[in-house]
Amino acid sequence: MYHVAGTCLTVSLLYFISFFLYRTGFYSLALHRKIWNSILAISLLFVALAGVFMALQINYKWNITFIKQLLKWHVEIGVGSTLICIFHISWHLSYFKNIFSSNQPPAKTTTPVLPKPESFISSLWMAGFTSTSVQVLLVKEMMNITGGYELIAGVFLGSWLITSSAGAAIAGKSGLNDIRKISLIFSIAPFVSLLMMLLFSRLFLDRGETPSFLVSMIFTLIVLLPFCLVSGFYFIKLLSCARQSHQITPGISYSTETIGAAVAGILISVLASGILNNYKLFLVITLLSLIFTLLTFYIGNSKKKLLLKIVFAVIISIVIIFDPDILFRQVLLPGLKVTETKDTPYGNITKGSYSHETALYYNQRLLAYNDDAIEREEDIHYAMLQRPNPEKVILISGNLGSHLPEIEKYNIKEVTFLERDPELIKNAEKDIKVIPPFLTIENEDAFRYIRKKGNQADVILLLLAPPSTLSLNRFYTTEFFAEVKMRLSQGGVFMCSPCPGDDYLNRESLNLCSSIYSSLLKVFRFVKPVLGQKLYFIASDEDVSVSFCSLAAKRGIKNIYVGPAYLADDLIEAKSKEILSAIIPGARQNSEVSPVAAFHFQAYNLSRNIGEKYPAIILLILVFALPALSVRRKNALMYLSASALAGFEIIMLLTLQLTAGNMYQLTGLILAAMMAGLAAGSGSKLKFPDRISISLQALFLAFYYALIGISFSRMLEIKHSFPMISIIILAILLPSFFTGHLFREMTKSVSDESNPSSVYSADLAGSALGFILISGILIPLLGIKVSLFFLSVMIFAGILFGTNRNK
Amino acid sequence: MSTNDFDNSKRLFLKKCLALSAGIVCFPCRGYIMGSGLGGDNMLRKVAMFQEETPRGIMCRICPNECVLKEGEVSKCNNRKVDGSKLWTMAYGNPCTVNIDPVEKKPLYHFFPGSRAWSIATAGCNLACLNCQNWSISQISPDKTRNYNQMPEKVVDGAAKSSCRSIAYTYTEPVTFYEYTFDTAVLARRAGIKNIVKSNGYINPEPLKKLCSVIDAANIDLKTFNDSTYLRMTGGKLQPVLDSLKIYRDMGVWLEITNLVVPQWSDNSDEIGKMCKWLNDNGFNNTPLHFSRFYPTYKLEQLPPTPAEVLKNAVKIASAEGLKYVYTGNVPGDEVSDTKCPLCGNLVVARQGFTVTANNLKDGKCNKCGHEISGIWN
Repeated sequence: MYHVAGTCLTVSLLYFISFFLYRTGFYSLALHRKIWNSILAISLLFVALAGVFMALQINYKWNITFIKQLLKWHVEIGVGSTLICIFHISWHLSYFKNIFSSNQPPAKTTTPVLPKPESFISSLWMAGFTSTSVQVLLVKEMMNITGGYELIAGVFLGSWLITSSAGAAIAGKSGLNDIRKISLIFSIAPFVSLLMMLLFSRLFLDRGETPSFLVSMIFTLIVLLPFCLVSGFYFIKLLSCARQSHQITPGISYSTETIGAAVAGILISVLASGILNNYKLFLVITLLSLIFTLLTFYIGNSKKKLLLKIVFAVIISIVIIFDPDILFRQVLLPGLKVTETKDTPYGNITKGSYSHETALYYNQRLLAYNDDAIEREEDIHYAMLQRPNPEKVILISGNLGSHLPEIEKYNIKEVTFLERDPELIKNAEKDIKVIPPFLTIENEDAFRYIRKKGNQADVILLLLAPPSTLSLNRFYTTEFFAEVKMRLSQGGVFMCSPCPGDDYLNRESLNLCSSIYSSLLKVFRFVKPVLGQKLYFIASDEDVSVSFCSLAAKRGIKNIYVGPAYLADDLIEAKSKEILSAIIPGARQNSEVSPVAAFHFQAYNLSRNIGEKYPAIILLILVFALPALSVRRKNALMYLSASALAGFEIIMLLTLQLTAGNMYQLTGLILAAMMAGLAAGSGSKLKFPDRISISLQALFLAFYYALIGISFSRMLEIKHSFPMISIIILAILLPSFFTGHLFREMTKSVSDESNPSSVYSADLAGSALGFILISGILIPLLGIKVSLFFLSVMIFAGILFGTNRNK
Repeated sequence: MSTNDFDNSKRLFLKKCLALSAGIVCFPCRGYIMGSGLGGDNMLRKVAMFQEETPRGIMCRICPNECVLKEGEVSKCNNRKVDGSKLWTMAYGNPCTVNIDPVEKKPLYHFFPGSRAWSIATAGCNLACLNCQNWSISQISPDKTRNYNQMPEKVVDGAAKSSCRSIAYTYTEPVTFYEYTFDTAVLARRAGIKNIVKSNGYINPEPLKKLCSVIDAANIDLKTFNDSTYLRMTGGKLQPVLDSLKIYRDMGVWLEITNLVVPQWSDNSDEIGKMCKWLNDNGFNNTPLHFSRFYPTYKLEQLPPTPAEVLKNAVKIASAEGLKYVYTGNVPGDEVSDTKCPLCGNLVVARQGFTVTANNLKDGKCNKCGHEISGIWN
């Protein structure tokens, strides 16, 4: 226990005595302040030194005998200096107030260094292009480092938008107008962010460590800060200079930037689908951005321009020819000797060896490993042993190279291997060398494949990762299980492993298991859990047995692990019963429109760092909810409609996955459709929307979202891909057009210079909230339909509070 | 009312509405976010042993953490709490996990091979290993887990009815449910049932000596032989574990040691060599040593599993240092699990997985040369 109250009281008392002495004329204000400044300096120095010594003891085993006393005084003096700091701040309160006040005297304004009008347009386009490219490529990498679940993606996008919004807000107050200088900083900033990401992953994470959610949040914020702050700042400066010097409206600027972003979205979708690796692409794009800046703003001489182009062409060629990704992966996976790395639309595949054993990593998590008898046998035999002669098997994902020999222990006639990632298929083909005649490999989304009419299977094995994301969650829903059942022969067996194989299921994993068990039981008559390296669920309409040792003996299957050497039937049965008794009866089913399992999985991930729960929640609120309070009332509608659009985009992407399957290029198309809508809305010269008041446009949006909510179940019934994709694209175009138009309307008529920056900030901050709120909380917790109605409510709130300023 | 006043009041209203909506949104998920106690009301079940009053509070003397706690505070291991100026254990008669396991799974290869152990654990642990397999119960307090009601008598009764030869105090850390372990072990001994602890060995000498009086066998994790790695990986120190090993041996408890070989953390050949040398120099050459394979888990998910080659190399190093019984674990199909006579090399116990497939021992001696094989065989 530390003496918080005692220390605070003592310091306060001493301070007020000193204050009293100065007030009564004993000594001057200057002396009073000198005394306390000295005390503050000494105490802070002591606190800092004590901290350093404690760190040295922990890190380098310095034997400091008085370390406990040091810790005590570190804290006690820390408490005291906190109070002195507060007094100190109170002396300079007006200074601090002015930093954040909107009424502060204008900052020293530098003379604008302005490029030609066409350079403005190309700079705006390039800003959008570079920002989006960097965003898409960095999000992939950050997801790999931090664990790759939805909440992290939401945090990344949210942090991106919040830091950009902060940059935009700062730009509104800053007097720096040298576009040349800002543009150069903007071009260098992506390298800084990349460097920080690599550096921090090595400095602050232990070897092989996955950061906690709290650390991931802080990590993401710090890494994104250099680039996003500059990017938001740069855009606003470009926009305001364009308006001042060339009468280019903010709407047009926004539209140009959005077109650049849309092009980047499409280009990255194409190039990252196996043509170029992530880091290679990142370096090429950022080098192009740098050369653009140098050519536009710095080099006038045509000979020098040519020389520069040649130099950069050589550098870019070197980057393209030599694969820098191996070096980057080597840094991120220390210890592993990386031999191959490939980025696909679905993730990164890295091969490497450690002490001569090969390991295959997918998104930096181990996917396959030599000699993993436990996993390969459990994945196959628990289900295959259920029936006397399983002949037709569908394998959904997994490591074919190690699973196929296990399946071949049975008299198999047909094996279909489904894998959406073409690179994993290539890898599987390499592993098995000769494709046996009974094996069919399909490069297709399993959801789409299972829905198609085809041969019935005796066993379907779902070997995908657990429902850590909304995208994976769809394979663990009641609807998917029903489709699976349709593809099973009579008495066919389905097995999946949605939960971790912890010996004790904590509250979060129990919720997860219960929701999936409930979904399985809705479809199949018999469902039994088996605890192995993972928690497996075996489901069928005929009885399921967990006496694997007896079954293996009966069927003549010889295994290393799934057999009497390691397992005992009575013990497996007892554990299965124990899990069944713990499962929450009548738990909410995991369904397409209500993906609760994804939410439970995220809760499970968070439960690993139980001590960080409250700090994480507080930080989440601080970063994503508090900016709402800084949004000006007149921008509330922009904030909330941007938030609703971001949420709607997530919902549409999910709808695409639920109906047409997860198709990477289509995801890019939907993002491009949204960008196009925004660009058209903000930049178009169409007359008809101008005649409609902002309130009416917003009202239209509110009703539109509600209408989609009402008809959502019907949408999911559309089984054909083409009409569904067309509907989704149309569905996203309309609200993005009107949201873009809102931006145009709200930035065009107001004279004050900070207006575009505040509207843009509100737009970005709103989008951040929308991402995190809809993907991380509302969809998993309340389902898609309710979330759609919530979007309507958000717009109504915007109309209510943000559009009546003349009242 | 001026326009500004109106704006301000609307702004305030908007803020309140936002706060209210956040509250409404967060309310249904508070259960998920906050979690809740599951253990029920009366968790303070027994006054803790080895407590000492100090001017700064009550000190728990069980383990080297030596937590000093004031009223209402909970120890680092999450299951000792001060209430009414006394230290209480929250982990007594409330195991969260009860299983029956083959004794080879602990692993104990020289202790009643082929027998089964009634295995129990309560929540809580005095270390915080980054690679903990049982983190869902080790890093939490017993009032947050679903618990069985099994007082010591019931544990012993359960073990006897299930024909278990022994009771294993395992999964989390028996040192943190010391009182429960001790009382159960006393009753088990009376009933002719053996007692096994699977522990990290992070315990103070005095309580360990008392515990050893009722324990028959122990498997102790010697996680690494580098003090700095020990601290970073587990939050503990190496020396207390080494001291514990000596006490177990000196007190006549059958001891086996496990070294989990974690790639890049504890797979350095030199360190393994140093560890084996220390074991040999300190009279542990007859103590079985198990090199166990790591698999990515908990906070160390980005490491590869330990290559079998590394484990085999560790076995070579240990054998070269003079350790007589060295095994590998958790590598099905590629394990070094057979016991050979150190004198004549005869295969005395053959194992496949957790099953004994051949036993060529006669009264604990090699049936070929008569050399005594260390262990408790029957």
